[in-house]
Amino acid sequence: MNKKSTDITDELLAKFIDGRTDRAETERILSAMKEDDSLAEMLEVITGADAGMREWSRPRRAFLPMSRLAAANDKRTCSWDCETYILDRRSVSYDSWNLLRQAKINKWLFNDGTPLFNVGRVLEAGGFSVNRTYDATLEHVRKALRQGADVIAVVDNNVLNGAGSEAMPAYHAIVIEAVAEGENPEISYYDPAGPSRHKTIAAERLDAAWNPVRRYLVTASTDGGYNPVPIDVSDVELMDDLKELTEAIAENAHNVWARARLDEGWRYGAERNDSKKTHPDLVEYVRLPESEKQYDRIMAQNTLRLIMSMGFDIVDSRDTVECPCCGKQCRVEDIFCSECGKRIKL
Amino acid sequence: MTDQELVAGLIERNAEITHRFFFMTARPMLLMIMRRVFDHAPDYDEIVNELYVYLIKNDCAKLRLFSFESSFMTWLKVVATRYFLRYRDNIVEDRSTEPESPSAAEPHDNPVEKADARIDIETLLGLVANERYRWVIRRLFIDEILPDKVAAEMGITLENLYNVKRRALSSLTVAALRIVKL
Repeated sequence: MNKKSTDITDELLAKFIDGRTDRAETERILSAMKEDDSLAEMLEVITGADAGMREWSRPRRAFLPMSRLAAANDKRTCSWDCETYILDRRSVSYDSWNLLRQAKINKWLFNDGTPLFNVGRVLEAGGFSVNRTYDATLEHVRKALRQGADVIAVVDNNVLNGAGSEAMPAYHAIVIEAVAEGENPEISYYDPAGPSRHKTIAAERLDAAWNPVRRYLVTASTDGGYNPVPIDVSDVELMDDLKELTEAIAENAHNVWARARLDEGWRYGAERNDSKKTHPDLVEYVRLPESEKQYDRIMAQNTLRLIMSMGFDIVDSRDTVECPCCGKQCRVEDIFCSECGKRIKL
Repeated sequence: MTDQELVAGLIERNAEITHRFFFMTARPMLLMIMRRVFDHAPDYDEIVNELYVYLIKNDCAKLRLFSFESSFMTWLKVVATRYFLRYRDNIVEDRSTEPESPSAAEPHDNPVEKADARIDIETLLGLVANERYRWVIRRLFIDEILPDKVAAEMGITLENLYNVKRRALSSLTVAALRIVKL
């Protein structure tokens, strides 16, 4: 099909795209699309590009807070206190001086608080099997408690105590001990901060305090049950150029794995044999079966999604501009420098 | 910087304004268009340089066609899209010496004959899912209510009404594209 060109000018089309055409002009353009393949293609490209730009500038989902837990008390040890509380409750004997030393050596604790991903390390040292997950629900908590696990939730302490969410978030660990049944059940919890350690709160209030921390939950059990719950990043959309990047990451991940195996004395073999150190995947990436490549691609894509979900940006350095004031590389579409706040655009 | 200042700067070949505009301000938008036009995008610097030459050829003939009836960025989006499509199809030609004024009579020559080619806004409205967009288009185009009155009815500023209208027309375009492809 090769339809004739119509006489829609660039100026009229721009006016239309900016929403400034009247009815007659609008109908003329929309009707011309039926006659003019190139006009239809132009409008398809432009509406697609506009959608891409909107996606690009769309605020991302609330990122995973990696900030340290620092709100509990002056010692900034809410996580430590929660975990030792659980050890005591379970009558697990431990040498607190040695445990503290271990925590310091392994950097589980910092002077300014515990990194989120280190909540539960003390319990792991005490022999517990620990699972960490984001986006947990009260049902997850109920289920864990029913199965006899211990549950630590990380919340915004300001919201938990009734202050507004406008205040700076104060990440804080608490031990959830019971969840009543019903629509807005009461939650019983242990709070290492404040004079009263055992408290109850309405589920609504807990939700409000839990949401800013992406409903981070740590469950610990002694039965050794390992139930990995990867962070759900399915709603993080990758830009097209990042999708292309995943192929490069997938291939490199395979090469890194293969290099390490070869250095350890493994070699190619039609069957995997751990004693003979042979593996069928010790071939160039391009020769891998599609299922193996797909595994590497999914790993690469989910890693990129996770990075973005955690609030980091992946920026093509060719698409950055140096702030004239502080030298920070900013995205070209930024108006102000994120470092010094100076205007960087025209 | 207003569009007037920007266009004046480009016509005067102000190096700083030109470089900042094409390599910073407009770059994300132009890249987004390039990705949709080319399977294997040519080098950005190269094709944008060519686009720039096209705009300033013959004493900026093409650039001077910009009539300030839209934003300059939107106009450039249209010009660049048309240019990139021609570039892709190897039919880039210099039309800047012939200002594209609509031979306005043609589409209205014979309304009866053209009737089957027309896309009716009322029909298209049924394909727009967003009720707010449908309402704005209906009030402005079908009920022919003045924009300031529509803005007042919606309790928004006139500027915001134009933003809503712009998005509504974009939805209308997507609906029309669906019909064209049938």
